[in-house]
Amino acid sequence: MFSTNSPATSVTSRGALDRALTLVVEESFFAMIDPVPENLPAVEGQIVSASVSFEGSFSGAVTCRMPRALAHELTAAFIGEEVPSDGEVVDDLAGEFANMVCGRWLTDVAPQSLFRVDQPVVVSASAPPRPPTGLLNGQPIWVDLKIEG
Amino acid sequence: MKPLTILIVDDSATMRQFVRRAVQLSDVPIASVLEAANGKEALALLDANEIDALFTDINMPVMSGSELLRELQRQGRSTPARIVVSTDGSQARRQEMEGLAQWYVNKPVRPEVVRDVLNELASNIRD
Repeated sequence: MFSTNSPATSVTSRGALDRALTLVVEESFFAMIDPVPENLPAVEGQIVSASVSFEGSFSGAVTCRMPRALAHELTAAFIGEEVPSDGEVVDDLAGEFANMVCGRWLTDVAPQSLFRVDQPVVVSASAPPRPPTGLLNGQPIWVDLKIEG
Repeated sequence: MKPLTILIVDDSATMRQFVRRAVQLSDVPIASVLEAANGKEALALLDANEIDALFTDINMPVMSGSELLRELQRQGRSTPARIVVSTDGSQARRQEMEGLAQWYVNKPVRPEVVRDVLNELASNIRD
């Protein structure tokens, strides 16, 4: 059941993606996304990158990147117990985080369409050479959208 | 009230643990909480256990939540009660789930929503 309409302008709007991130952070982690200060220090340590691809009336991927230390904090807060910082559980949470942002965003921009959403792909990465989307628990988080076609 | 046996189906271990915690924090008596990573594992657990309520994700490898719910419908099972837990809150998905599940909960899941669903379920069982 896929629409044949081309994506509306709202699909590529940054606002909808930022809104999805804010809602996921507020509702799942009882936290807030803060604005990025002008002189943000360089990010140290590993970055974890989680991408979720989707296919439907339009296709693409949502990618969330954050320091592994932040992913570790979010994992402990989410499941209510301490976990190893280098464990699979942290990767799993990073993937589920991206999954929730993607799902929330798709629900907002295309509420009448059905999409196939793939399993998250989680890898280690470098910090992107551009300012983050915002700060979460004082640490940078990047959320990006790629639309195909 | 008879304590409930709950089955949580999600390919994400952290999401299963989150829902488990929300279930255990509810004020409904819980006998046990079982977990499955996909619909196929869930069917095996459903065959081996008397399960009162099923929380299931939609997008999972091996066997999706939609396929699981359709299989339960095909088998004509009246139990367990079925709660969909999904990142997809679209009208299209909700319509697809009508008739397959009794409740539809959006991720991120709020613990109070899980509590309210279990309270309503327990009340229905009592009645």
